[in-house]
Amino acid sequence: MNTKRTITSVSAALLASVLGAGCASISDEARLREQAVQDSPRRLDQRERVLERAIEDLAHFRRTHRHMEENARGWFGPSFDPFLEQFVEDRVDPLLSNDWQSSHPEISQLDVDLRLRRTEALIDLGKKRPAARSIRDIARRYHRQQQMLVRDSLGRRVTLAEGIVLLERQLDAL
Amino acid sequence: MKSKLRLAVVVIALSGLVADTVGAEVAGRANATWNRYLDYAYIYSSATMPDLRKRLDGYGVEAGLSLREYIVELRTRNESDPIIDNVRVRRQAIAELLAWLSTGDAALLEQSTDTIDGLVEDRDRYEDRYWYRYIHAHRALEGGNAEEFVRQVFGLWLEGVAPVEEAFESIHAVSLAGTANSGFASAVPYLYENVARLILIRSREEGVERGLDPLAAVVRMLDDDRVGAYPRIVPVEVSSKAFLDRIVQRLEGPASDGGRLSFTLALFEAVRRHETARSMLASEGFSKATLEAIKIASASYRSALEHAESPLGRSAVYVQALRQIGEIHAAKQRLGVDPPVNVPFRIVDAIGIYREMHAAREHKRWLDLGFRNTARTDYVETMHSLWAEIQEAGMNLADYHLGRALADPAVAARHLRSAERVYVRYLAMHREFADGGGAKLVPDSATFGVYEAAKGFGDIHLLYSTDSPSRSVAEAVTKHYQIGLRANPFDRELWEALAISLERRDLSADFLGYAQPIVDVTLGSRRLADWIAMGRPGSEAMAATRHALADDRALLMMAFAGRRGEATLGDELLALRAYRGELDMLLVDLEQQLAALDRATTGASPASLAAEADDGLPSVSVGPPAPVGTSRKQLLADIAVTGDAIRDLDTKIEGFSRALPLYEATASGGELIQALRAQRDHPAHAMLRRLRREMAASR
Repeated sequence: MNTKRTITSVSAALLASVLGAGCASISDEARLREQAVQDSPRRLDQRERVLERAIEDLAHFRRTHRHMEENARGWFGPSFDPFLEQFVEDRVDPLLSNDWQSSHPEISQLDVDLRLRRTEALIDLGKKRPAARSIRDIARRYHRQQQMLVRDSLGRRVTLAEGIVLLERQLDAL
Repeated sequence: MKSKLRLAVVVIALSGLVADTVGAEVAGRANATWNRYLDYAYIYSSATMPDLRKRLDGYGVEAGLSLREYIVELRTRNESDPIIDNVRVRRQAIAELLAWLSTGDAALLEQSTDTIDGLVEDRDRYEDRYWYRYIHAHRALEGGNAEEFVRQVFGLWLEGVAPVEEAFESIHAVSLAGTANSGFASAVPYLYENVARLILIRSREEGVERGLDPLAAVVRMLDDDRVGAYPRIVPVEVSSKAFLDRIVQRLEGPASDGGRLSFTLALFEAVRRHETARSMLASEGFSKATLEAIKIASASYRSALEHAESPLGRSAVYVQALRQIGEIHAAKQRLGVDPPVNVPFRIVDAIGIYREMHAAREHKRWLDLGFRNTARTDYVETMHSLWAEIQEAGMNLADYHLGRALADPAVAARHLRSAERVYVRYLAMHREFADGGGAKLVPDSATFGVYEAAKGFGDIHLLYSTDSPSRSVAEAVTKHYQIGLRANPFDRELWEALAISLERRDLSADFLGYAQPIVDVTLGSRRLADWIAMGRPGSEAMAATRHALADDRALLMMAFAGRRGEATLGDELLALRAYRGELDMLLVDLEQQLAALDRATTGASPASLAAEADDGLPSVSVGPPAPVGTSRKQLLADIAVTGDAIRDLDTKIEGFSRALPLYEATASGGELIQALRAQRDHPAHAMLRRLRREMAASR
C-alpha cells in the first residue's frame, strides 16, 4: 500500500514536471526522477533512449572536435569548448549521477559507454584531472567486469580493460 | 430641463459604458486571438517572408487587429504596468520578431531584442530561454556577427531545446504531444526544425557565410533522429530533413573541406544555383536570364572556393565548376551560338590542384589534404572525379573550338590553335600522372582521353587545317595517330587516318610497318582474348576489330578502302564477279575456236568423231569455224592466259569475299566509342587501359 502510494506520488510529481516543463520553474527533481526510472519499465526504456542519444551526441561532438583539431586554423572560434563543457555538465552528468545504472542488467552497457564517451569529451576539452578521475571512477564501478565489451571512440568493440587503456593513452598524450 | 439634462448625461454615460464594454470585448477577443498565435509562433516562425506575411495578415483579420496594432497595444500595456509580466514581454518580443521576419524592417528586430532583454527572473521558463536565444541569434545574423550567432545557437540548444527533449519524449511516448496541457515540451519537433532552418537557411539569407563551422556539431545532432523523426507532428515532406541529410553527407564525404560547415553550405548553395542555370540552359538556351543564372552560379562557386581551406575542398569546387564549363561549351556547340560567358575557373588551375594532391600520395601525406576523417578510397575517388572533370571539360572545350573553326574561316586558325593546346595539355597531363608513379589515382577512362586527344591533334592538321603541315608536324600527326591507336585500336577511322597521314608523306607503302606493332599486341593480348571470350561489355566490337586485324586484306581495307565506302567495296566485288563471268565465257569461246581449228585440220571435230564412234554414223559439225589466220599455238596461249587470270581472280574474289564482311563488322567500333564517351564508368575503359599498358610494354 505504502509502495503503491509512493509510486503514485512520484508519478504524479513527474507528470507534473513533464507537463509543466516551461510552466513550472526549473527545479532539481533528480532524485524523484531516478527513483521513477527504476520503478517503471516504460521509463527504463526511455532512459535507454536518452542514454543512447547522449552517447550519439557526444560522438557528434567528438567528430566535430576532431575536425577542429585536424584543421586547426582558428576556424572554430572560441565558443565550441564552452558549449561542449556545458553540454557535458547539463545533459550528460545528470544521467550519470546515480549508482544504480552501473549495476542494472539492462542499462549498465549504455552507462559504461556513456561514461567512456564523457571521458573522451573531457580529454578533448583538455581537462586532465577530471578525465583521470572519470577513468578511475569507471575502473572502480566496473572492476569486476573488465572483460565486458564496450565501444571505443571509433565504434569498435573492445574489452573495458582495453578501452580504459586507450583512454589513458589519450590522456597521456595531452 | 434639468431632468432632460440628467437623462442626457445618463444616456451618454451609459452609451460610453456600452461602448467601453463592447470595446473591451473586441479588445479581449483580439488579445486572445493574437496571444494564442504568438504562443504557438514556434510552429510557423520559420516560414518564408511572403508566407509569413500572408499568415499574419490572416490572423490580423481574424483578431480584428493587425499585428502592428497589437504590438502597439502590448507595448502600451507593458510600459504602463509597473510589474513586469514575462509572458506579456515574451509575446511582445515574438510579435516584433514576426513583424521583422515578415517585412524585413530592421528596427523591429532591434525592438524585439530590446523587449526580450527585459525578461526578468533569469528567464525562468524554457520557453523564455528559447525565444531569448532565438531572437538574439537572428539579431547576430542581421548584424553579420557569425561568432555571436554561433554562441547564441549553442545557447539556444543548451537552454531552450535540449532541456525539454526528455520531457517531450515522455509525453510523446504516451501520445500526449500536441494536447492542450503538454506545454512547451510538445514544441520540440518544431524547435528542431527552427534551429535547422536558422543554421542552414537563415544564415545564408542574411549573408553570414563564414564562421559557422562549430555548428557542425548541432547540425549532426539535428540530423540524428531529430529533424524528420516525428512525421505526425512535422511531416517529413515539409521538414528540412532531406536538406539536412545532404549537408551531413557532404560534411563527411569527399565533397567536404575537412568537415567545415561554412564551406559545405557554400558549395551546396553553388550547386543548387548551378542546377537552376543548367535547367534554364536546357529549356531556354542562352537567354539573358540563363546567362545571368550562369553568372550567379559561377560566382557562387568562386565564393565556395574562397571558403575552401584544404586541397580537398578546392577539388570539390573545381569538380563542379569544370562540369559547368563543359556544359556551357557543349551547349554552345549544340546550339551553334557563342555568347560571351565568363566562368572564372581554368582547367590549368584544376590540373594544379590535381598535381598538388597527387604529390601527397605517399607516406599517408594525403591525409593532410582534408581526408583525415575518410578512407584512402575517398582520396582515390576524389582524384578520379577531378581527373574525369578535367578530361571532360577539356574535350568539350576542344570540340567547341573545332566547331568554331569550321563555322568561321576568319577565326579558324586561332580556334584550331586553342583546340590543339587543350589536346597537348591533356596528353602531357596523362604522361605526367598515368605513366609514372601513382597511376592508380588516374581513372581507367583517362586512356580513352588519350585516344580522343591524340586523334584530335592529328585531325586538326589533317582534316581541319587548310595549311600544308611542315615535315615535323606531319611526323607528329602520324605519331599521334599511333598514340591514339595504342589507346584505342577499335576505331576503324583511326587506322584510315594513320594511312592518310602516311600517304601525305609518301609513305603509304610503309603502312604495315607502322601498323603491325599495334596489330600484333591487339591480336596477342591474352587479356583481350579473355575479355572477348567472357563476353564482357564491348567485346562484340573488340572481337570484330580483332578479326579484321588478323586479315591483311581487311586491315588494308580499314586503311585504304574506307574513303571509298562499304557500298563501293561491295560494288567492286560484284564487278570482279562479273569480270570472272566474262573470262569464263572467253575461255569457252577460245576452246571452241580451238576445236573448230582442229576440226578444219583433221576434217572432223572431236565431238563428231566421238559421236561417230558412238553410233557409227557421220555427224554434223557443231561450233564456230576456226578464225582465219589464228594459229593453234596462239589459241592455246590465250586459253592458258585466260585460265591463269581466272585463277588469280578466283583468289582475289575469295579473299575479297572473306575480308569484306570482316571490314564491315568493324563499324561496330563506332558504337563502342559512343558508349565509352558517354559513360566514364563503362567497364571497357579498364580493358583499353590494360591493352595500352601491354602496347607500352611491347615497345
